[in-house]
Amino acid sequence: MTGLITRRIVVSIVVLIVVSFITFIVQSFIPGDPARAILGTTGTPQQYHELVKTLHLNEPVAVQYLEYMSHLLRGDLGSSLFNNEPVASQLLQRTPVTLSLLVPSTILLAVIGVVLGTLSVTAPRPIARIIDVFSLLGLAMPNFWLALLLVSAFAIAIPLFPAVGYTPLASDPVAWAIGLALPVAALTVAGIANVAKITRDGMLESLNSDYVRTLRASGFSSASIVWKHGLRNSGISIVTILGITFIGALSGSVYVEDVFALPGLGSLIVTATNQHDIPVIQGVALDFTLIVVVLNLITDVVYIMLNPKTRR
Amino acid sequence: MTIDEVGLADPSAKRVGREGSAGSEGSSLRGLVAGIVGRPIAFGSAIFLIAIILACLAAPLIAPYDPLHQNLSEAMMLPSPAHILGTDDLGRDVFSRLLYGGQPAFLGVLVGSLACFLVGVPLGLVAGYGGRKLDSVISAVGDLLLSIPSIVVILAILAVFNHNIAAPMATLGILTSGGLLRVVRAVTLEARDQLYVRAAKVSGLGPFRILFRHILPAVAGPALVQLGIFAGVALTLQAGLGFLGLDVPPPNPSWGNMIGEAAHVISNFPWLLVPSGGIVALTTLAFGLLSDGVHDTLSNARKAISIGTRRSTHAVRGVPARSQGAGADSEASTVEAPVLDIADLRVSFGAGKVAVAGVSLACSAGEIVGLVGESGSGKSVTSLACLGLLPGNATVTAQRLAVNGVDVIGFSERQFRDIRGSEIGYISQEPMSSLDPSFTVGSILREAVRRHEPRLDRRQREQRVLQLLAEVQLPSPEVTVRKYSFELSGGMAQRVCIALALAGRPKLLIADEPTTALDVTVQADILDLLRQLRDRERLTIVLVTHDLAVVADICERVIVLQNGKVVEQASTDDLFSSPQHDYTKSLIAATPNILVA
Amino acid sequence: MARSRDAADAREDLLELDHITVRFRGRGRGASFTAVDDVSLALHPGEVVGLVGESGSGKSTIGNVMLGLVKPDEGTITYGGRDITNVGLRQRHSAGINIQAIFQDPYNSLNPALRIGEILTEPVRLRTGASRRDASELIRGLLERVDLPADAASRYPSSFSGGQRQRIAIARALSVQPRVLVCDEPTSALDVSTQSRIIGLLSELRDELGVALLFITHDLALTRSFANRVIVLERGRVVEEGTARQVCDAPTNPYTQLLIASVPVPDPQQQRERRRQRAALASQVAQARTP
Repeated sequence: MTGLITRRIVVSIVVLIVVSFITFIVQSFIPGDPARAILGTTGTPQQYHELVKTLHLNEPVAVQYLEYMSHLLRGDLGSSLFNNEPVASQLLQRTPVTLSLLVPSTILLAVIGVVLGTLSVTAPRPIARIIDVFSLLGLAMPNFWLALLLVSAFAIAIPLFPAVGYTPLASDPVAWAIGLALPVAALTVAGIANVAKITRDGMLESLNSDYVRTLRASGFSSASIVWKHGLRNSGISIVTILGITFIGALSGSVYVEDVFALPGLGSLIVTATNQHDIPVIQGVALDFTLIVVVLNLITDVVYIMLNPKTRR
Repeated sequence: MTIDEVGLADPSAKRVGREGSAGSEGSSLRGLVAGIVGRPIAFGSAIFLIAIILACLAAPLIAPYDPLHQNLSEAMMLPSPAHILGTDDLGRDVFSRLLYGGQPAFLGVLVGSLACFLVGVPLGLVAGYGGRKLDSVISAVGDLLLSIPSIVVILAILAVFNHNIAAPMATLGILTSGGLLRVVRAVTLEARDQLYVRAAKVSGLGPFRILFRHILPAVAGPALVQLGIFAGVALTLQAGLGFLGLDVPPPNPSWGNMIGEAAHVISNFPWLLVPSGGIVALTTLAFGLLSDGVHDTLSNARKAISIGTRRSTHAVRGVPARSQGAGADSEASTVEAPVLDIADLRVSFGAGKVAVAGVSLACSAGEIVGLVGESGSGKSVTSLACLGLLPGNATVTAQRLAVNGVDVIGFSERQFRDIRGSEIGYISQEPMSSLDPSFTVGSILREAVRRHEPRLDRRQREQRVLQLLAEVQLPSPEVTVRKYSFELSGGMAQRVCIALALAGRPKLLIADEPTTALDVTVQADILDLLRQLRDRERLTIVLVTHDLAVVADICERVIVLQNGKVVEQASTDDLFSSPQHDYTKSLIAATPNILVA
Repeated sequence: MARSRDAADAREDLLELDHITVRFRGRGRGASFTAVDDVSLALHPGEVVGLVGESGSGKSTIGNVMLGLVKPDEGTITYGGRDITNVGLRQRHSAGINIQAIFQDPYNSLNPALRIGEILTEPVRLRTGASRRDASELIRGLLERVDLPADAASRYPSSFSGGQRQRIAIARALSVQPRVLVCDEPTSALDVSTQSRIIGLLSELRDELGVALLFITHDLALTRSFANRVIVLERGRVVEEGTARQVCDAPTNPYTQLLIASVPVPDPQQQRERRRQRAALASQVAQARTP
């Protein structure tokens, strides 16, 4: 068991390095001169040379990368090229917002997805059909479009929820929750369909197995067979899809934050992309990757617990 | 489909000599296309996709207006004959913009899919076929790719390559190829283990030939399914990038940036959201439905066998007495009521497939009766009918079907559940796969005991579990309770299954080929155990088997089935010393006897 | 029974395995397990050698070693006098080594996506470079020989029963005229009446073609009637060998004795007697173990 965890940690470090490297290399393709771009037309030649030296712009790429990494390990992620704010503090401010969106969303889609997926197998035909249709539709709608539809319906037409804005949990929990209702809904719907589908496939396989026939032949109740035995044996594939869906939700949060003007990581990276603000992009990339890495660690631990062969 | 109908694999499809098994429908390209054409939803999706792609490609020819032509006096109009999808906030025709706007979308999907395919499929094949070291390296790379949140890399790339369609989509394709790689690898690994690949190797075929002829066809289908799913994801992502203003430079239309424009006027003119987002949703849906269609075509045969159609009930229907055919009268003693009483049982699966065509038999307490036949004889189906465990598409009728004097004709699933385990028990052919692999032996048995003896407290329940394990002569019950099924040998697993079947103290045990999968020495032990259990508990055992030697060992009476009918019934001694029916004679003659030259 | 070999041939070893040992590495932790432990056996033309054992006896592994699918960790394989231990699977063909196989699962040993004709002509064309037409001619003859209809070549495996598929597998193996045929539980998945027909077919072919058969099985009763010689394996080691009659009627090794005693016979009176004998044997074994 420790072997698997160690392996996961090693892979995680590699992933973080790879992502930082990719975003770093990408920057070197930007045409033009970053120092010039920062100073604009108002800098003196002196300031220009100072800036080039500070940013190590004249040195080989490899050296620049090592500089970057050494700063990184000290917790210094540089500053925004645009407004000079330190990247690290922006990340610290915005990560909780994104997590407020992701975590409730994931929990909801896990619960609803598993229940719907199971029901689509065990419920009478018309209900199962409806669930199938809703799943397909949910999966097909782009989440930003769904977000806009929700805003149009529940924030504009019937003003129940705010269309934009975010209230921190600490200052007003109720407003925090209400403000997140529509964004979480937009993010959750597509994920529900994925989870429901995989749950359904897993349940079908479990319920068609020899051991379920034995349980039925021994008189076990269908509730126990479905919700205890069937679900438990589908556990691994459900956890896998939850992991994949979480990563999808991470990507999706970028759009949802844009629509609802939530001050999270997604809206930060979109702005930075438009402004070619490389240090910010790198910072957010690493932050996202860190979130994924932690998620993978958690799923690995869950796998180990679910699989009796590895528990031994 | 309700839980009641969730299949039990058509029992005549098991093991010994089953006919026509899964896999050939989708295995060839022709089969795949035929499968899609035969499924209206998938076919419709395919047609829709072809139509819409062609329409967008032909936009310069068929668009009614110039997509960039503004006309502020006609801005924000709902659909009308002049503008069938209305106009946007600058008076541009929405329909024309949609046609042109599809081009970047489909270009993106194409580039992304190609990238995903070109990276995922070869790597997956090599990982699956190329040996353990290569596999672990490639799998690690694939997992790495999946761990990278694609959006950040894509945005980083877009920060450099402004307004480029191909670059971000190719990146998406490469990053997502990890998923395709995983699927291709899994299929390749499974195909590699197939006997026909082994046979090809023995014939002398080299690895490339084997990959191409034998493995690639198996991979093609699942790969297509994955690509279909990917196409939907790629389209949504491309639209998302457009939504953020990062794809085609304005004022050129793309589906994504049209949604973005709709967002700006959402308070005044929400209609604009509908065509722009709707077309993305519909196209993604079409990709998904097509992919589902391919998936269903591939797993078609398997589904047909194991799931059955969704019927509301498969209860046994009673029928009035008919004129009796061969072997109709049971030879059970009439002193006490028979433990199992079947008269004129008929079972068919759908149109034409008759499994049991009028079987009658009766067993009295403490008897061990053999139900003998080859594949297709209906022996397993008969035994499962008594438990109400046939698949949902089974039509079951009988003049009489009674277990321990209780008539089960017309029983609902709930009523069957009440008698399963408590009146009638069941053990099957594959003991290892008959125990839930995620729970310990003890856990399963405890649940069974709780079900049948709910008034025991925890300590008493534990004792009962240990007692059950001791009754089936397992050496160390306290150790066995903590084991999982994969930690048991075949013989031990079968003993556990017997303990499970007897947990509710049933009077009747159906044993369906209980020793077929066991070694011969273990078989002899299990047969001894069954005999002892019968002696001790006055258990009635119906032993379903194809092996006449087993019958000679343990059964007192034998019923021979052929093609769903009883051809002979006799005591074991009589059957072997003077068989009456030709079929019985041929069966006995064909059974090898170790004592005879 | 027609004998197609003369006395000189009878003594010549067609295929010999000497002191073969195969070890498989355990999962991850490095503990290995010995599947085949110092096994030696020899095959002669026209002979059927039965390799019997329970699960885990290593019998299938020995078959795989013979076929070149598994490389032995120790020991040598000699074919017609030549050492072929290190000849890879693909080199066997060019080295003139002709050992073919039929497997246990008829539902798995034919690629469901290919027609019978394609499945059968593949090995022939590979080995002899024959044209498609010549290969088809050959296949037609083979299909007839194994009692399958002529139109079988244009059909898919799914339209055939288990017994018919085994016949196709036999035809495939014979298409390249093997000297040795490894039969790995070829009838275990078949009905008993189909089984006897397949065994009959194998007997005929053995007599006609002088092919040597390694008949791997767990079914001792079948072995006694079909095999000339029998080798009994327990956990990778040979515990007894001899003629089929010797081993089955008068086994000397205690494991073999218990094994034979456990085989039921389709005769209730005889079987009652055998049960008594087995019980006596088992208690002897138990007594011998207790100090």
